[in-house]
Formats: sequence, structure tokens, C-alpha cells
Amino acid sequence: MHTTHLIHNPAGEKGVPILEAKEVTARFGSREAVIQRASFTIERGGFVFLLGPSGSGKTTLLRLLFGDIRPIEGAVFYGRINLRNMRGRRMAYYRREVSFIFQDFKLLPRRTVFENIALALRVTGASSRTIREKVDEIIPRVGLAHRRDAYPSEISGGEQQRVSIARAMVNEPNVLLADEPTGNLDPRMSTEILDLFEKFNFRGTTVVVATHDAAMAASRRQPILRIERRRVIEDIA
Amino acid sequence: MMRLFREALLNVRHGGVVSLLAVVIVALTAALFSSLYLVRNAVYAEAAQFEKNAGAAAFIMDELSEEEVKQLEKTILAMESVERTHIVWKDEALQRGQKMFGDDSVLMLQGFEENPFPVAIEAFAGEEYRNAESMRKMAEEMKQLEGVEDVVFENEAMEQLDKMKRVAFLLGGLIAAVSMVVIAFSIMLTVYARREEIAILRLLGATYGYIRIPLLLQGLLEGLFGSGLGMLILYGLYWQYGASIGFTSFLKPEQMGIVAAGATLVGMLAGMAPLRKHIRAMN
Ligand SMILES: Nc1ncnc2c1ncn2[C@@H]1O[C@H](COP(=O)(O)OP(=O)(O)OP(=O)(O)O)[C@@H](O)[C@H]1O
Ligand SMILES: [Mg+2]
Repeated sequence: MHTTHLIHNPAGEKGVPILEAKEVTARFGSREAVIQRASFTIERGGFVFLLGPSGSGKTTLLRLLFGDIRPIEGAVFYGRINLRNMRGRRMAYYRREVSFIFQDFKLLPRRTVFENIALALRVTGASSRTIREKVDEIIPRVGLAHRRDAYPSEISGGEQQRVSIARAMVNEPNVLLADEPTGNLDPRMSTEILDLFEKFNFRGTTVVVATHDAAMAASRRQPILRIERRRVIEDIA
Repeated sequence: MMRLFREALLNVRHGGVVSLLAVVIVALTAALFSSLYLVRNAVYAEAAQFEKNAGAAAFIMDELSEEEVKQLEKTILAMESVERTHIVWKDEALQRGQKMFGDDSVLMLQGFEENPFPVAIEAFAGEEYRNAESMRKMAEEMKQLEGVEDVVFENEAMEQLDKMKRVAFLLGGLIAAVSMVVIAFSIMLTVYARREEIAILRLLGATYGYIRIPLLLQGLLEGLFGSGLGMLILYGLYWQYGASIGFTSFLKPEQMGIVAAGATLVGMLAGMAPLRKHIRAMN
């Protein structure tokens, strides 16, 4: 497997910034800015909720952190690297270190559950054996053992969500950006998924969970970033 | 390498209707192009038949002895553009004349004491010289020789043939260009149909190369399958009906190679051409 390290010893030294937004402004076309001069820090090994109502800009903010859209003003840093300077191959490597759980799952319709999850490893050039081992290990952890060979159209919304969760976690990223990861799950499954995130977090993965559900954010004694009036406010739990 | 081929084949299969359509369009285009190629071959074969007899006739002055005529023939044969020669002695000339004019020849020859036809040396041009321009030069050169009275050659027909060849060449080029555009677009469409998948792969950390190579192979396979299928279809038609409409041979192997290589190359390039634009956009 191709493992690059854009930043040094990602799991080490807790408390150091791993993702940093500095005075970031994002806008689509000529419409008014969605995020305006927002600054915040996410620490290595941290677990934070990104809280805001629907349409407040959670997805936009996560995409900024993911390098999928570029800020009009300000900058996003991964460690010391400005994402603006990350293109082509380096951006590809960045996305192997920072995974995204998409609100709309983004599964490939013509591939099975197994293949969809495997894709995150295949793009890194991992061997078939490694892929099989890792994918078959994570599938039961998201409760999909019985659906391993099903196609996305044959499984429920909650199951699709879990496929996208497994795909984001299977390559053990440094950072997990989760966009409403429990939006389609019942309370019990939501709890299980959050527990899973905490387990990963315990092993060193930095986790950012975007949600509109204040109760869920409050349930975990983790710090909360609140989007309010196009700014980001850091709530200390 | 195996992964890449598996991926590319999978792409073709996953492309579903669009890929199938692309292969069909490539096949039809290749069949159309090849059938015109076939027509061109037939026309060229016909022309070559005609050109084999492309030559000029030099009429020799009566004063020359048989020895001198033979000497002159040698001089003409030594010319670079001349491949072979033939002396038409008076007797043969007379026979030809009688044959040409039929019954009228009796009348025509009435006033003559003896055979009025002059001795002629026919010179046939070598392969590279069978065009109007070279023929004109050759005739010119023959005219300069001592003992030659006059030289005639089929200028008109030669020029007509040259013109036809030029038109065929331009038309062929046009049709080749159209075929390439059609093939390129249909294969670009198969990539376009997969743009969402490509965008997802980028979001999962795939490099350009990882995405590009299977697409390139996909285009290559579509071009290859398509053109192969097209020529197969055409061969089927040729086998069934070719003889009845006067075709005697199918495309030469190297010509089939040109069609297949052209389609494959265009397909390959088209397979990766639209990539960069389609890899963004997440929502
Ligand atoms: N690609 C886009 N083009 C134009 N406007 C966009 C685009 N993406 C988001 N927006 C706008 O930006 C604002 C924030 O959208 P965003 O998706 O970030 O909100 P969100 O907090 O994730 O909402 P939700 O909880 O419903 O997912 C919205 O007003 C939305 O209409
Ligand atoms: Mg959203």
C-alpha cells in the first residue's frame, strides 16, 4: 500500500493543530458568502462536533477542509501545509489521509458493498489480500456482514450510509470528516456509529462530525464548533 | 497490468448502454469508411490496369533502316521513365489500321502504292511515371531524338485519371476526418457518462493516473472492438454480395490494420481527453 505522510507523526503530540481555518470566506458564484471570515482550529487526536441548522454551511465548511472547494479569502492548513498549494498528486494523497463521509453517500451504483468499501484501498494500490482482510474486518463492525455482496440499490438508506462510513474508515485515515453520518440511522445504530468513531478516535484518528442535532452533539462530552451567522464559534464543553 | 485490463473491461461493461452504443457507432463508422476504402481499391485497380498501357508512340521517319530503328528503340528503352518498348513494324501498323477502320480501310488505302503507315516505337512508362506530367516529359524527350517524326500519347485520359485520383484522395481525407470525429465523440460520451464515478474516485484519493489509464484502455478497447466489428460486418456483406457487384478482393491486411489502428488511437485519445473538466463537483 502506498502510504505517504504529508504531515509528520499524525497520531503523536495531541493538542497541536491538525486542521486550521484562518479567516476563511466561501461563496458560490455571486451569491452572498456562506461562510464569512471564519477561524477555528481542530486539534490532533481531537473529536469535535460541527453544529448548525440546515443550510448553515456545515457541508460547505467540511468541503473547505477537504480541499474540494477553495476559499475566496483566507486559508485552510493541514499541519503546516496550505491546502491552496495542494494539487494533483498531493491532493490525492491528502485525501488518503483525510477521509470524508458524504451526506449523500456517493457510492458507485454498479459495485457491491464490498467493492465500494474496497475502492478506498484500491486507489492507494493496496494488494488484493490486504484489501480483502481490511474490508472483511470492517464490514461486520458497521453491521453489514449479511449485505457484503449486495448493490447499493438493494440496500436501505441507513445501510448505504454505513457503507460510506466503512469506506471512509477502512484505510485508517488521520482525519475523518463526517457529514451528518447518522442522518439516516435509528438511535441505536447512531449510538453504535458514534461509539465506532470514538474507538477510532481513541486510536489516534481526528474526528469531525457535522450535525444539526444539538442533542446528539451534547450527548458525547466533546467540544462543539457552532456555525452562527456565517461564523464559527468554539464552544468548550 | 491485469488490474488495469480488468478495470477497463469492467468500465466497458459498466458503461452499459452508452458503451454499447459507442461500440456500435464506431463499428458502423468503421464499416462505412472501410466500404469506401474498398471502392477506392477497386477504382485504383481499374486505373492501374489502364495505366499499365500508359505509353507514348513515336512515329519513325521512313528513311531509317531496320538497324537504325532497333538502335533507336534501345535509346528509348534506356530512358529512365521507360519500362518496356515495342516496335510496330509497317505490317503490324497496317493490320492495326485495317482493324481500326474496318471496311473503310479498303477505300482509304486505295490511292496508296504501298503501305502508308509509318513504323512506330511504343514506349510504356514505368510505374512511378504513369501520370500526365511524366508522360508529357517522356514524349518531349522522345521527340528530341533523331529519326523521330512525331510523338503521340493519351494525354487527356491520363489527366482525367490524375484528377480523379486527387479527388478520391481529398474525399478519402474528408471521410477519414469525419469518421475520426464521430468515433472520438462517441467514446468521449462513454467517459462523460462516467463523470460522477470519476469524481468519486478523485474524492477517495485516486491520482489522475489511476483514473486515466483505465479510461484510456477503455477508449482503446472500444475503438478496437468497434472497428473490428465494423470490418467483420463489412466482410460478411462482401462475402455475401461482393462478387455479384464486381468486387474481387477484400481490404488488404495492412489496410485493415490502418482502419483498426486509426480507430483505436482515436478511441484512446478520446478516452482521456475530457478528464480534467469532469473530476470536480461534489454536490
Ligand atoms: N454548490 C453550491 N452552489 C450554490 N450554492 C450552494 C452550493 N452548495 C451549498 N450552497 C448553499 O450554501 C448554503 C450552505 O449549504 P450547505 O450544504 O453547506 O449547508 P448544510 O449546513 O450542510 O445544510 P444541511 O444540514 O441541509 O446539509 C446553502 O444556502 C446552500 O444553498
Ligand atoms: Mg450538509
